[in-house]
Amino acid sequence: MRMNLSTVIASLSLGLIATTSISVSAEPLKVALIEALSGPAEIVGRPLAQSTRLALDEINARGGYNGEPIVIKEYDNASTPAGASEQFRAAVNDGARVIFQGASSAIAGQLSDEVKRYNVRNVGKEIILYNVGSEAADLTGEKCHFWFFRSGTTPEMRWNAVVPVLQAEGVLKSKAFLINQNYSYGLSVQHAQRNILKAKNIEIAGDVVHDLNKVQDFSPYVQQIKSSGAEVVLTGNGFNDMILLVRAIRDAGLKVGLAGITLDVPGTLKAAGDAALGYYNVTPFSLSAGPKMDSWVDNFQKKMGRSPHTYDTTAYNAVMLLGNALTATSVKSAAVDTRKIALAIESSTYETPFGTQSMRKEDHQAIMPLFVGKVSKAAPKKMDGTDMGFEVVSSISGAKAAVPVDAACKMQRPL
Amino acid sequence: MEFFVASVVNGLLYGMLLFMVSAGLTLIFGMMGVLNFAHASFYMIGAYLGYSLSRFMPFWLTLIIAPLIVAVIGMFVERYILRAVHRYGHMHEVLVTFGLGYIIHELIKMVYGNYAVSYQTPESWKFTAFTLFDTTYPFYRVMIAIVGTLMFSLLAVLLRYTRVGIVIRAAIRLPKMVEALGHNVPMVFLLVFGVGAWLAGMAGALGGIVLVTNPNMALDLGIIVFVVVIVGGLGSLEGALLASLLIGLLSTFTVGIQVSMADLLGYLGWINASSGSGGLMNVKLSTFAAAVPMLIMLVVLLIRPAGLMGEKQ
Repeated sequence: MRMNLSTVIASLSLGLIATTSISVSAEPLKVALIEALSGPAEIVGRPLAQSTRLALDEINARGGYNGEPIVIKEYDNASTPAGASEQFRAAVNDGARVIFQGASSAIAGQLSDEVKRYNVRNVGKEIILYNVGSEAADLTGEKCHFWFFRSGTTPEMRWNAVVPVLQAEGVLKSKAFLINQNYSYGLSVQHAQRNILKAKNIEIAGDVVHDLNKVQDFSPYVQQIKSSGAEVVLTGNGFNDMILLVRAIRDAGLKVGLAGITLDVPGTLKAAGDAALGYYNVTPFSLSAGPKMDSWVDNFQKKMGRSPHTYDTTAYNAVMLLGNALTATSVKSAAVDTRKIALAIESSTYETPFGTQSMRKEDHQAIMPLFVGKVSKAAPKKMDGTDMGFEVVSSISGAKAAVPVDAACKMQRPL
Repeated sequence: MEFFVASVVNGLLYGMLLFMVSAGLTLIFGMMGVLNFAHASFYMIGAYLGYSLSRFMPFWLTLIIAPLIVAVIGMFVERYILRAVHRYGHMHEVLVTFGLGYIIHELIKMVYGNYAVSYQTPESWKFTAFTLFDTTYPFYRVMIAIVGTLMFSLLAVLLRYTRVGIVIRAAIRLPKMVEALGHNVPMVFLLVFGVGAWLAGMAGALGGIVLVTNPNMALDLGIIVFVVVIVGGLGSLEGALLASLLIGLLSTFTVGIQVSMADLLGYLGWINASSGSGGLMNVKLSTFAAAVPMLIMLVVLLIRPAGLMGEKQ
């Protein structure tokens, strides 16, 4: 093929322009949302992904990272660990350096292992796994490692917070009944409940686990609660397992208190109806935290066209904390340095409308305030399209809500 | 005593609910030989229609209209979808209904969202039917059992003692002969499918209140409904009733039995050896409550492969 000189010069200069433009603009930080966007965990994964995006967009609006907007890409893990593993490889191929995920502890465990292995083999190109909601205890216990951060609470934090409140309220005097789902998260909840009840000298009158989302009729369990003589039912159940339990208690006409952690999940109050009145719920967010929260909620509603709930605030606050770490380490046109970002997250804080959120250095567990609410028609903020809401009976500061670092966590820090 | 009586009552009420959902499925299979994987989806449509309609019309009217709409949808599916693939054999029918289930699932999510809707017992229906050992039993749950019994009797009488029933049963066994005698066999199938869908719609409109009306309700109940039909014997209405009650009662009793293998060994004096070992020995029987239907199915398939009341093929 013959080429005349001018063509050669032109193509060379074009190449030069291309290379110079690359060296001027830094590589952007690529992040991946490997979330449950289909399948049974979609009800958790979808809002987590939406609110993660909302926060990332805000971080981009104020300058992104290293002067470049953060590049966001979503991957659907189809609610299974195997799907997450597959999407992890896709995200790595696309150059993702920070991975967000939150729905399902099983998926979080899978990704945590993948990231750990990948980072050992790819020193200098490490990936951060930023978890925005999975709660199983071992993620920051036995499984903890330097590249994993958890922004949700642990079962221990929640139950240590709620049991003393139940005692102070005079609802729980001597006997409690535990009912939980038979899988990793439900069993961590059961473990946490047993420990705090033992510490507070309260008798466990009944202690059952049942299959996840398989029970259609809770009346035999209610029969057991009744014959145990318990004053309060403690449960980590969610969605159907919570709604059906609450309804079965009402149908049986049983007068018993209940404390849970999922009454604020969308659909629950609506489907449970009046049966939920007087029940307690412990969450890391509060809608009635003052005007700052009100304007946040308004803004959220305007952008998303729906009301925010616990998954939204958890993911949003988590990502905003990361955003502060990104801003702190941002150097115009520098290369992406995930090690620096990870170290910055450890000392980063974020002021939520309801308190300060921070990340503990020792096990990468988020420290945040907790709120114990009581379902009531007198609550200032109604939820879920009902005339009910949560009356905050106790606010627990982040420092008080924190539980000691799990001794099983042996974190190896990069040198 | 209280445990026993309460478990029997709870088990029967739950069993009748199961029967309502599975009656249509076994009817369609028994009459047409079509394994309708979208059956639980018809049940879900019934529940969502019940929820939507009950917001602007009295509840009793909802209970009449919602199942009828589902029946029409069912007949539409039979006429324009199932009939088209019928000649390609059962596998095609199974696949078509399976796919249809997925589509209905996604459509429901698009219209009603991902979360449970507030489908509640209407205020005027909220009262206690009876009280046993201080435990109340709401009228609504008792009514489901009554409606289930009525459904069963009606269908049994219809199929066994009426002319329509004779034609239907004949059309199953010798469709060509029945056609030659001047009966419209495709019309018979259309009606049977419609009735099957109507039953599912009724179960949904009634049961959506007791269970939870959410987009996963078809999946949640889909498996257990098939277990009921298989245990009872494919196509046998009496079998489905028997299987539903059996599963309802056994599941309920299992939940109440807080015994582990270690406890049993303990009665034999081996308590120390067993209770300390952890793992499987200390798992309580009640933990397996959700597996009870599967266990029953396994046993029945082993000793009576055709199901409790099924005919040998």
